[in-house]
Amino acid sequence: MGMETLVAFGLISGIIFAGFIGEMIFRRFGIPAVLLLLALGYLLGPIFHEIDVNMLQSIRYIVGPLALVILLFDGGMRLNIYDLIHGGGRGVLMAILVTVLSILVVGGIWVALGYDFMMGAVLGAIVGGTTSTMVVAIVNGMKVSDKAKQFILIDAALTDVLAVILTIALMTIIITHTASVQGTGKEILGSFSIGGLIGGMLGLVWIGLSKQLREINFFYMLTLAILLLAYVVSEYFGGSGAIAALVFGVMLGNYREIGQMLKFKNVADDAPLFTFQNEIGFLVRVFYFVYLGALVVIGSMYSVLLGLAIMAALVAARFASTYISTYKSELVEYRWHINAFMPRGLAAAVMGTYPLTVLLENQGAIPADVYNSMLAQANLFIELSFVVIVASVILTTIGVLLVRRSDAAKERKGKEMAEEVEKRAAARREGEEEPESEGKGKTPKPETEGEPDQEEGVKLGREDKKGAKKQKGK
Amino acid sequence: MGLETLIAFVIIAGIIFAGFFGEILFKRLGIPSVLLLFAVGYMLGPVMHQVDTSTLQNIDYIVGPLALIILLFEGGMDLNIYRLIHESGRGVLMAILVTVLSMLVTGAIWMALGYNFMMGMVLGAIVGGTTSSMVTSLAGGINVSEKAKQCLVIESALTDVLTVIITIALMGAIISGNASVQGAGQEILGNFAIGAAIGGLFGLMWIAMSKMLRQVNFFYMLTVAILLFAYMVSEYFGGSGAISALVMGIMLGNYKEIGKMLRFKDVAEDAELFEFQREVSFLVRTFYFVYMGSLIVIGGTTAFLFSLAIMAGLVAARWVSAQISTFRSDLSEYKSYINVMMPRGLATAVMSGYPALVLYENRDAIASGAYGSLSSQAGMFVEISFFVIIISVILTAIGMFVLKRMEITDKGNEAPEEKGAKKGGKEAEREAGKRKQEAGGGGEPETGGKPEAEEEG
Repeated sequence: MGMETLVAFGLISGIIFAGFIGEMIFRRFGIPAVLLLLALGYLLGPIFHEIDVNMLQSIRYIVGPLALVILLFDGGMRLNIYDLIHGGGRGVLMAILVTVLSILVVGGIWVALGYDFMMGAVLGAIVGGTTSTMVVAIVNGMKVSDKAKQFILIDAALTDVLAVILTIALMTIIITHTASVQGTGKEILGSFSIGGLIGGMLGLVWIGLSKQLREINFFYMLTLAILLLAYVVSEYFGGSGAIAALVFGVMLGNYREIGQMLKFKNVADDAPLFTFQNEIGFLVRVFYFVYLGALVVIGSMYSVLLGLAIMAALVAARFASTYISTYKSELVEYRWHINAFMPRGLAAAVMGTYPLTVLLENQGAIPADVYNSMLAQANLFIELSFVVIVASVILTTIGVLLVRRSDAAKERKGKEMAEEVEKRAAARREGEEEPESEGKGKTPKPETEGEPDQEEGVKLGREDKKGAKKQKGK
Repeated sequence: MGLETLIAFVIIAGIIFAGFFGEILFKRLGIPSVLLLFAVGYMLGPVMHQVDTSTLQNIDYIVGPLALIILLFEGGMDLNIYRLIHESGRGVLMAILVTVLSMLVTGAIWMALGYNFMMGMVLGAIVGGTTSSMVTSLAGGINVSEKAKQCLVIESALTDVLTVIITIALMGAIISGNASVQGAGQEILGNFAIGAAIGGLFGLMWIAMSKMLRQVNFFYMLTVAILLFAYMVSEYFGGSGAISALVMGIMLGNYKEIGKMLRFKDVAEDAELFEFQREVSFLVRTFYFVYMGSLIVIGGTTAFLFSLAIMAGLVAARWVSAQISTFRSDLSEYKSYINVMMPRGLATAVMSGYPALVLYENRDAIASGAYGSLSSQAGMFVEISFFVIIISVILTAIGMFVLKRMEITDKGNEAPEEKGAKKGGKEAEREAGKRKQEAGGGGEPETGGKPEAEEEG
């Protein structure tokens, strides 16, 4: 077959391999795969011109929404409603706080630069949420209490969703700007409730029929088709397709509980949906990051510096939110762990292009001068979210490394102290019996102490990895 | 989001739904899903212009080979090497016979129409094989012995592969046409050997590392990436990528046995590969049929008439092959079933565009006079294959329907008398009642038939 076929196949398999290698590197060394993928995209696009950027831009209208739908569906499936209601009060608080503060802080920076506050708020929503895929993998390798783990996981899962929803809502406000607050509120609420209703209804149908569907072949593909249908129907009737995908995901992620609750009879016992979803989610993530890397053109030092400034503000917002949401709880102990978890990922990448798309679609609805200024700002968002993703991921890597170090040091110290106490107690006991042998016993011990400690550290690391795998498999 | 996004989503979701409904229709009523999918494609493309045909043609260079790879990979995975070697001499014989005869018959028809014999042979190879996806599920629902089922399944699995390989080989021979037989043979053999070696090597690596790979996430996607990579490497070194995909599929389909044989230690216990592969190939099949339906341009009645003639030839070839390969065996009882199972499918669809593509790529290697004639013949293959698929599928559906009807009436006439004599009166009555229900309702006669066949056997 022709050369172009081979090149295309080479690209596809190469990108999947890169995602895979990135995953391995992440597990072994803690260096996130996102960096590798973005770099690969950047190499393939702007540098070597192996990928036709025009072609990529022309399929944007389908790649972006598709990634968004899969992302939200995935996010919804991960949200355990029971956890959220019963055990996640502080996690939910953290997610809301961090998102709101990020929006305010970034909005403030944006105003200080002489732009529109609302657009800054949109940017804040885009880069405000942490990505759950990375957080899930890291948190399982950490020595924190179960409660803290849950806290971090809920924060990540929820901000993923909030980033998308708020971006969409804020953009709606901007576009219907001339109308009243009531009118805008109505529109957003209406669009979200229609989306929620349609996603929920199709989710119920799916659960009701799940046993039958399971028996027929091609279970996952059918689910995917229903998901797309939910999106389309919802958008067609003026609802939000994204919300429909999210609610559909929540329903499917909790399908057994919902089935039981509603006393459905034909609920499937097991749905191998999660394995498929994992693989498809992997594919979407990998390709989307490469896609983003290929599309981004870092125009100037200005956007890099601005991105870094925004990142600094986001860090501050995170610290403040952590402080408030862990206030007077046992989580205080893990504040630094929580602070370290700030990787931005797919949600920021996908939503980074959203304002531009929406503005282009609603060109007629906005006065020309306002429109042009907004368009310029929205254009900047893609670059900025790219910079923020990279910076946040690097910061997370460093932060996690430092926290782990200090954990290990603390542990060593604790052990040393315990042993010291024990030794003293033993010495005292021995001293009571045989006062002369005290001097001999003391010197050789510290040397041997170091080794078992280290070994334990290695062992722990291994266990951590196993834990991470288990969690991911879920 | 914009209207174009919605339309794209509707088309994607709609096609998957259509594939799904097609599957249900096929299971319930025996109407093959290919027909529905072709119709959807035709509606979307030439009739309503919802799909941009020129875009589709632009991605032809990636869709065709991708479908081919997935098809061959799956075909390879379905081939159980032990069964092939030990239990299925007659199925293999049938596959080879039917392919060779189809080629000869089609070649002859093509020549009679005033064209090139070799090109006719290529067309024969393309339309010569039955599609395993349909035959496998049809064979599961008919009342024949296990052996006959196996024969049918193996025949279709093998012809799927033969269709592809022989088409590629023949086109290789046509392009290096000026060279000697030896030269062409050398080239094809070399081509295939390189492909097989590379596919085998990657397959071995996969097996050896399967346990490790299984533990990491994203097992299936990695396998697909390796598959594409094997294809690429093989083509790059002058081998056949299709063969490497096939061989890798065979290795992966038999990975436990191969792992044991070679005493690999890290062989995975279970690889959830098959379920995923089924979903993916469903997607590929569904989309490819729609794709073909939307791209087809029906120029006139010529192609249709040609394909009718060719189909008649193919039916004859199948009949003769069935006669020979079931000769003096207990399979001869089921000859009518074997004759009827003639649906063409994905392999034919995918390969129909191949000759034109290869000719175009090698246009410099062929004398310009010959090239014009060859490419105009190759241009007709897509349309002819389209019709042959449709006709063959309809013939299969009708044939199955008739055979099932005959079975029911046979049972109604014979069985009660025979068995009534053997069994007690009450039992016979109950059985007769059951049969009446079946015959009257017409619902799922095959499940009713099974236990009886066992009793008789």
